[in-house]
Amino acid sequence: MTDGPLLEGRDLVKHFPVRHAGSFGTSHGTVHAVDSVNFHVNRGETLALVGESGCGKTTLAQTAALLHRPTSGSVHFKGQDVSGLGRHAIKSVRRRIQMIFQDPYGSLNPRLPVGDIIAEPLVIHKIGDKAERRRRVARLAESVGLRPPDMVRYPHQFSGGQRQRIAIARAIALEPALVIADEPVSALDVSIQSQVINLLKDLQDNFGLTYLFVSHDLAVVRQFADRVAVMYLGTIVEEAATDELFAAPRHPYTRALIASAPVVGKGKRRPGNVLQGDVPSPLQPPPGCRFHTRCPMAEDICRKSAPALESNEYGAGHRAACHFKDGDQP
Amino acid sequence: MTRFLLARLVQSVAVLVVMSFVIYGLIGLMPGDPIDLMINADPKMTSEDATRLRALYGLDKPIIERYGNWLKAALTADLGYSRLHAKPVLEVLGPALGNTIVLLGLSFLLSLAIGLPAGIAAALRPYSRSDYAINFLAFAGISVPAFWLALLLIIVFAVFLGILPASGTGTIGAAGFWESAKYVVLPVANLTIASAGGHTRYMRAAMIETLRQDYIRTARAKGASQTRVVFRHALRNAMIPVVTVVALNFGYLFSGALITETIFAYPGMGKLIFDAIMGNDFNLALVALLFATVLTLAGNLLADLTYAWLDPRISYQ
Amino acid sequence: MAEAYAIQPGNPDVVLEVRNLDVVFTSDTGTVKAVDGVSFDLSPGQTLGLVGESGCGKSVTALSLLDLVPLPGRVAAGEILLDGTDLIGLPDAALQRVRGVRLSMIFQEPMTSLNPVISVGRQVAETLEIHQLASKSEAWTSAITMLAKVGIPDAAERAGSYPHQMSGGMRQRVMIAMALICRPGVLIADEPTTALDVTIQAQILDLMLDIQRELGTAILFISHDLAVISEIADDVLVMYAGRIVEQAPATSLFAAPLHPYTRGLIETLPTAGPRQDRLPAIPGTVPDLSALPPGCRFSDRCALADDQCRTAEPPLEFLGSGRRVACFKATP
Repeated sequence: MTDGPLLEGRDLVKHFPVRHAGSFGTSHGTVHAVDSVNFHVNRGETLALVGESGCGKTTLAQTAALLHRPTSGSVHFKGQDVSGLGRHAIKSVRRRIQMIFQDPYGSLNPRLPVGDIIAEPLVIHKIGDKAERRRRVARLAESVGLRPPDMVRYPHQFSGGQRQRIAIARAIALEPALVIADEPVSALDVSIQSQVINLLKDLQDNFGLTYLFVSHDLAVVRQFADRVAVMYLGTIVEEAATDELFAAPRHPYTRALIASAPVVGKGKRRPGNVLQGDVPSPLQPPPGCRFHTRCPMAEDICRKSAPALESNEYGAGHRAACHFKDGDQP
Repeated sequence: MTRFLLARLVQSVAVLVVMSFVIYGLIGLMPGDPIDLMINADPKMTSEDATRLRALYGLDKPIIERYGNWLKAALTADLGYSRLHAKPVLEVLGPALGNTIVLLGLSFLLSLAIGLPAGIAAALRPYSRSDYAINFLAFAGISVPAFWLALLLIIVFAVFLGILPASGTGTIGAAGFWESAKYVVLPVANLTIASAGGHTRYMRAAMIETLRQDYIRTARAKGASQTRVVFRHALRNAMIPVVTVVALNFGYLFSGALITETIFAYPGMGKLIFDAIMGNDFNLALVALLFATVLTLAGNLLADLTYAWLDPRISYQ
Repeated sequence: MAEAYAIQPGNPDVVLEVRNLDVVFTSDTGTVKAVDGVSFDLSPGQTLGLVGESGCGKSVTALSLLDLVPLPGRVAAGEILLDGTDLIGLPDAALQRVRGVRLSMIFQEPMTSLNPVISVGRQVAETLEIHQLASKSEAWTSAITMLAKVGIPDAAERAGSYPHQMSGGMRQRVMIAMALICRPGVLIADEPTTALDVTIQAQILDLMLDIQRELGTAILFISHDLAVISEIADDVLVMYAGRIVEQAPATSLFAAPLHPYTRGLIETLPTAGPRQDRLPAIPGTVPDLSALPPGCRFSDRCALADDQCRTAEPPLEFLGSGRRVACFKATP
C-alpha cells in the first residue's frame, strides 16, 4: 500500500475518431473528448467532476474506470500504472473499481431477478459457493435498504430510486476501493435524490469507499463532494475543495456556472448577466483558452495561448486555468 | 454529389467484375458441360470428337484462363453466342430485358401505388376494423406462395372466366393495345400482390412510429389539421425507412419475376435465365445474371439518391 | 371547493380559467385519474409555475389544455375557459383554430420536438400559414424577424437550417419563436429547460421573461425543478398524485410552505448552504395512481398524518392572499 492518491490521471487524452454521414465521400474528424487532464482522487474522499454536456466528464470517468484506453497519458491506481495492462491483469483492477450509471433501468438485466443481479459480479469473479454468495447478497441488500422478498422480483417491478439501490448493491458486491458514479441521481425525482445521496454517504462511511462522482447538478455536488473539478470542453478549468470552490470561484466559467444554477428563495430572476453563446464543437476546439469564445474577460492572450491549471496564490489545492488571476490583468 | 455518383459508379463496376467471376466460376463448377449434352443427344459421337469439340470451345483450359478470355472478349462488347438460341447473346437478351422491365416496372409501381396508401390508411386508425382488414389482405399477399397464386390466377381468369390468356406474349402484329397488353395482366398481378402486402406493412409500421414522434405533437400544437400533419409532417419522415426496405425488395421482386415468368411462359429475363441454366447455355446465363445484378445495383443507387432527397441529415459530400 | 375558489366569471383579468379538470386513462386493468379536480386561473403577463414529481399529472394537465393527451387518456370532466369560451367538446376544426394562435405550447425535448426534414424557418412560418395570417413570403419574412427576436444569430441565414444543424439551446429558441409568432395569449411551457445545460437554461429563462414582458403572454410553466420555478414563477401550483395540494405566490410558498409535501420538497433540495451530513428526505415513494392510499394521498409519507388524514381526503381550501392548501394539518 502506498500513501499517494488512490486514483490518478496523468496528462490524460482521449480522442475519438469520427466519420461523417454518407456511404462514400466520408470526412474524418476527431472528437477531443478529454485533452491533457491531470487529476487525482484521494482515499476515502469524493471528487466530483462537474460540467455541462459535452465537457468530457463522462469520458474522463469511463477512461478512469478502464472502459476506454487513453489516447495518451496514463491512469494510476494505487500508484500502479494500469492504463496499459493486458486483459487478465486489468480484470483484477476492474474488480476494485466499480461503476454506477444514470439510468438504473438500462443497466439492469430485465430478465434476471434482483438477487441474481446483485450476485452476478460474485459469480463472474468466482467468489464463494452458492450458500456463501446467498449470504453476501442478503447482507448487501440490507445495506442498501432492500428487503429479502425483493430478491426474487424483477427490475421493472421497482421504482427508479429502488433500481438505483439495486445497481449500488451490485457495484459494492466486490468490495471495491473506488466507485465511479456517473450522474447517479439525475434521473430520479427530487424527493428520491436525497434518499440515494444519503445511502451513498452511509456506504462511504461503512465501507471506506472512495467516489469519483460525475454530475451536472451543482447543488447535489455541493452537498456530496469533498473536492470538485470543473470541466469545460475536455479540460479541467478549476479544481478546489467544495466549500472553497463555491465560496471563491476563480475561473470565469465556474463563476458563470454557479451564477446560472437556479436557487430556491432568491425570488424571481432578473434577466441579464448570463453566459452567452453555445459550447463550441469538440471536433474543433477553439485555440488558446477553450473558454475564450464565451468569456466576458477574454483578451488577445486568451485566444492565443492555453492557460495551465495552476495554484498561484489561491488556497491549498485550489487550482484554476485562467490567464487572469482573480480579475487582474494577464 | 458528383463525387458520390462517380464513386458509386466505380463501386458498381467492381461489383460487376467480381460477380461475373463468381457466376462464371459457379457455372463452371456445375456438373456437365455443353459437350456432355451433345454426347447424350448424339450417341454416335466418339470420345475423340468430344475432346476435339472441348478444345474447339476452349473447355479443356483451366477455369481462370477461360474466364480471362471471356472477360477480354466481353470488354470488346463480344458477349458470345447463345448455344440454345444460336444467336448472339445480346440479340436474345434485348427483347427479354424489355419484357422484364415492363413486368417489373409495372408491378413495382403498382405495388407502391397500392401498398403506400393502404399502409397510411391503416396507420391512421390502428387496431380499427379497416386496419384489421388491410392487415389481413397484406398478410395474405405476403404469405401466399407466388407459384400457387400464379396457378390460381390462371385457373380463375384463363380457364374458368376465359378472359385473359394463360401464358405467352402478344402475337407480333396483333391489332390494338389490349391484344398485347392482356398478356401482361396476370404476371403483373401476380408479382404486384406479392410485394404490395410487404409495402403496406412497412408503410403502416413506419407511419405509426412517425405519428408517435414529438414533432408530430408539436405540429398539432400549432394548429395543423390531421391532413397537414400526415402529409406535410409525417409522410416524408415515414418514407425514409420505407425507401430502404423497398429498395431491398427490388432484388426480391426480381427473383419473384423468375418464378412468375416461368409459370406464365412470359419471355422475360427470368425465364431466359431459367432456360439458359437448364440448357447449359453458359454465355447466355452469365450475361443475363449480370444484367440482373445491374438492375439491382441501379435500384440501390436510386434508393440512396431518394434517401438524400428525403432526409436533409444525409449528405453525400 | 370549486365554489369557494370561483372568482367572478368573465373576469377581464383572467385569460385562462380551468375548472375541476379530470383526465382519466382507461386500460384493461381499470381506469386511473391522472388529473383529479384541477382548477386554476391565469392572467395576462402572469407566470404560473406548476411543479411536482414524475407522474403527478402536471404534463397531462398541460396537454389536456390543448386536447393533446395521448390515448388512452381523455378529459373526463371540467371546463377549460379560454377568454370565456369552453374548449372542452369543441370540434377539431375549432380547436385547431385556437392552437398556436391563442394557446401555444413548447415542450421538453428541443431535440425531438422539431421536424427533422423541414427547415426551421419553414417550421416557424408554418404557424402563420396554417392560420392564414400571412402569405407564404410574408410568413417567411416574419419567421426571420421572430427568429432574430428569440436570439438566433444571422436569422436570415439560419432560417434555412435544419434542426440537426443547431444546438439544443438554439432549437428551444426556434420552438419559442414557433409558439409565439402568432402572439398567443397563453403559452404552456412543459419542462422547457429540463433538457438543457444550466448556462443555456439561464439564457432561455431570460428570453422567456423578456418576451413575456414585451407581449404580455400568460405562461403556464411546468417543471419538476423547484429552483427553476422559484426563479421564473409569480405564483406556484404544487401537484401530488393528480391533485393540486398547494397554491401560493412564489415568494410566500418558498418562504413559508404550508403543505407537508411542499415543505418536504423544499427541504430535500440540496441547498446552497454548507454541507450537511444527511440530507432531509421524504420517506417512501410517490404512490401508484391505481393504488392510492385512502384519505389524503400523501398520508402514507407524511410525518404529521393521523387517523383523519388516513380516512378523509382534505379539500383544497382557500386561505386568502392567493393561497390554497389541501391539508388538515396546515396552519396558516
